Amino acid sequence: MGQAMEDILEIKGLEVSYRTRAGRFSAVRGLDLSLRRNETYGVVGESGCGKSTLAFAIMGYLERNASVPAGQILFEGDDILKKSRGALRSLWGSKISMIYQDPSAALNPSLKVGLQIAEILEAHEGVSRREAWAQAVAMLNRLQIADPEKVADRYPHQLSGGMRQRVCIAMAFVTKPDLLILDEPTTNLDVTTEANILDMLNALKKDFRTTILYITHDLGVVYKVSDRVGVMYAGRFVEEGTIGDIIGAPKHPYTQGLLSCIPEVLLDKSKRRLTPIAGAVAELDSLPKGCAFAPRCPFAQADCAEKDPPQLAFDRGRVVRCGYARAIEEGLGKTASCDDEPLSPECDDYAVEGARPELLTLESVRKHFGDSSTMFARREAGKVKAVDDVTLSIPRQSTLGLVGESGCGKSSLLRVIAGLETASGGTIRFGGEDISGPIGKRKREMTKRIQVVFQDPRSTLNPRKTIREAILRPILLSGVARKDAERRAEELLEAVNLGCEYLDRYPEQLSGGQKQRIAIARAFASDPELILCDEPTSSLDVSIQASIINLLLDLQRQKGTTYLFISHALGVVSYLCDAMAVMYLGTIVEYGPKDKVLSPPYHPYTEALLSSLSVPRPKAEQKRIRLEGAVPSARDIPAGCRFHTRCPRKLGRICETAAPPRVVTDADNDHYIYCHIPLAEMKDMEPVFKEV
Amino acid sequence: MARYLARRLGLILVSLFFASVIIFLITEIIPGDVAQVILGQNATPDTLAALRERLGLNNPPELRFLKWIGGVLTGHLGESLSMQGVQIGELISRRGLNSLFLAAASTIILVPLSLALGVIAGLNERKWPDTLISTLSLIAISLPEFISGTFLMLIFSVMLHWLPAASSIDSSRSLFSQIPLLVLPVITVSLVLLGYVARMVRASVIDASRSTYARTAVLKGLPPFLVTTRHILKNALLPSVTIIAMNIGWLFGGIIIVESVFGFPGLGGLVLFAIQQRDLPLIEDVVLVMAAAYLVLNLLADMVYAALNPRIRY
Repeated sequence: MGQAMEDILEIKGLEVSYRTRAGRFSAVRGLDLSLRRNETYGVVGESGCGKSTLAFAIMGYLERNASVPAGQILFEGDDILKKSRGALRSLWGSKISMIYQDPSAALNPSLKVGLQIAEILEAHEGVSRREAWAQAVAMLNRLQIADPEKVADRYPHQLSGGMRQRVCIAMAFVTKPDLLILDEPTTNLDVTTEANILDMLNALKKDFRTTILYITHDLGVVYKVSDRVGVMYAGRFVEEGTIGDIIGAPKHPYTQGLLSCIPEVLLDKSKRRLTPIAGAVAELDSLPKGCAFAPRCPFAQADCAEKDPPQLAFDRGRVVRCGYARAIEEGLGKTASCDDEPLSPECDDYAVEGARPELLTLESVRKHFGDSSTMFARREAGKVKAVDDVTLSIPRQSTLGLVGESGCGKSSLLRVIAGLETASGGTIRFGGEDISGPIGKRKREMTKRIQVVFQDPRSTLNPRKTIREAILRPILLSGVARKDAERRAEELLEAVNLGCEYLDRYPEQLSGGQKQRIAIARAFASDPELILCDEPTSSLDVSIQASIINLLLDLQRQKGTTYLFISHALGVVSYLCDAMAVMYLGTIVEYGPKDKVLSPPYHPYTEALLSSLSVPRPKAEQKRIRLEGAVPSARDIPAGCRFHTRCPRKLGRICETAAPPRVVTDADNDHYIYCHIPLAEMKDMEPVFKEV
Repeated sequence: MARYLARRLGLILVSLFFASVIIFLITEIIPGDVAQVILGQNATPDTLAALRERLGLNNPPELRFLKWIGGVLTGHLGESLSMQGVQIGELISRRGLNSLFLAAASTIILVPLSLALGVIAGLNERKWPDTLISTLSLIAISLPEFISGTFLMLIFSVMLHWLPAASSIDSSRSLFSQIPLLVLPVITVSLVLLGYVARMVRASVIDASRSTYARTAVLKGLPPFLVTTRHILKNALLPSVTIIAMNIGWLFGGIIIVESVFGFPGLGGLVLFAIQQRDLPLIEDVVLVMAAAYLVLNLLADMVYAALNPRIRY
């Protein structure tokens, strides 16, 4: 009984099923979970594993077509599933709160944010509007929001993404709830914002003694915030235990798989190939018999597909739902049969040896928006300097990673190189040819040599064209005969590890990962020399991301393609690039070979980005540097060093007045930092990650 | 805001100029001859030619266009060709007032009723009030005005004798004293739009109630009434403003037909008469006035929308 008193939430044998046109399927299948008071419990899983259903079941707010055939959800001893709507209403927002993934959708667009916080207090605590508003402002103040009165008086669209999420956090905490459910609250936010929000949550949780259920797909985030963690697959926990145990020594094959497909900042493609989990996430509406993970499991035995896996218990409350967990620990061999990835090639092949000729060189490239005026509207507002003086070069067959927070101009730069926008100034040379003129004057041939893979494969493929048409078009445009083009399309599909049977399907019949493979095949169709990758993996699950990264690396090795890889996911970029450029407010602040960028001397911005990263690494100690606020507007760029408004290492007036010099850090003359800090001082910086 | 308003007014003038060119070109193409219509079948070629000369029909088109536009700009809409001595400006203002009254009365009924029906249907998605409203509004949309008007007339005037069938307004008395005459035309004009607007409002209410922010509001534990008014309706009614405004422009089109069904002396009846008589200046002026009314109305709607939506600032 003592144990039960400590538990704030107890879920017993929960089943949730949905009724769809295709029939009934279970999203949560016999799940048990106990949350102790004041702990943070992380729920990790890929999309479609049922984690959001779990969250809404705890709220007692399921879709109309959902039903709960079995189980109990006891919140402070009472079953939520048996409560009336009225009783639930008095829990919602007062004892149990929730924070969602997309703060811009969660906030009412036509209501001031102050009122959206205050109305919760009015509803639950019966305080006056004036009093509630004052408390809302106090809450915003507590979240270290500058000028909280002004922020409360704004509408959501007037706030940045990070600020909106802070407002949602204020909404959740203002009634000091006992239980807080977070559903991917930092997904799609910049690493710097994410780090600030996670710190804030940890602090608030201590102050308010709140129990937190944190749902995410990101193991790094879970590692940073939670005490215990449950790994969810196909509607149930496959492994549960303390965060240190699970991240440090995963026992279930799925947990192991998840951890080994994360590209990490400290991992290089030449050291280890990522090992994606074979196959695709089990569909809840067509689960296999026996263990749902068996078809993808490298250790699967004959009986795994027959009987439900038993739960094995270990130390410190650890539970693993796999009958072979002990055997695997003791060295049970892999059954290679389900390894559909090609066997690891020699990793050294990835390394770029010797100096290669430059393929693309940018010199003081600029892209300013808003200097045109239309017939009736003259834009009086200032120019947006999206890209302002970028000098870079990419050698053939190498990968340049370009990182920076959202709004730093990396996508605009990509559009200029791709020929979707005309540069406002500077020169772009591609294979020795000047292509910086108006894009309309670019030779047709140039589009064949430069291709793009975009972020969202769902919107880049025409839904009314088959895969065959999508891939054939660029080939036919280059003047290849129909018959040869068909053969080439088949080869391309094979190259991206999809069979010819996909040729006649429509995009909607493909999963997100498969669509991205098609988009990559299409980019390679014209045999380009340069491929610009704009966050090609950021909307994909980690296991699919790993296989896409492997695919890009393999294709590069086979065809000698050059990549410019843009992402705000530092881990992905640093894993696969050779050289790295860090961009801030339209300019490059640091540029050089990857290893030199990732270790001291650092630009203060690079240092801050690295220390904001959430990495699941128990053995590394990470420096803690936080950047306040968002990237300033490109309409109103700070004078002197653009970073001085947020720089934790700002020297003084010189940073505000003089543009920083280009500092060459060593005799190789290939690593540059744009900063006023003396080189010797930068060299003395501690590395962000230290092994302990 | 003032800048924006000035720009929009400028745009309206430009649009009206292009509209006037198009209107003039169309009247040029209309077959038939006003002189023939005035003098009848027995006119001799000589009298026809004399009349044409007197009416200025023999002038080159550019000259006639410039004369017309010049007149409009200086406030002289000219004289009707078919009705001797009648000033068009006076005619339009009298008839226009009648039409305006009909349109205003319809709008006053249409807006609150369609909003209410749309909101009720949207909040009760797939329950009986929704089914009822959706079905009735679909019927209302699919019946053209001349059918619904005729039916209404048949039921309420011919069979029940409750209301007069013809709306022959007596211009010497005020419109308010003749309201029974207006009831049937107003209902007919409103009917199609009522159904249409109600369906659009229903769709946007459903959209808003499925939104993430509505879910957030529910899970904040707010009372249902607040969730509905503050979170769902506040956002759902915004697009409805645009829809209503666009359709009030459409209402003018409906009025032409309804006016002729009920014999209502408005602009619609006037433009029909003018076309039958090949009274070119009259056609041109009436259509131009209608175009101007439509443009001004759209501007007003945009202003209302901007006032309601915090995201729009001019």
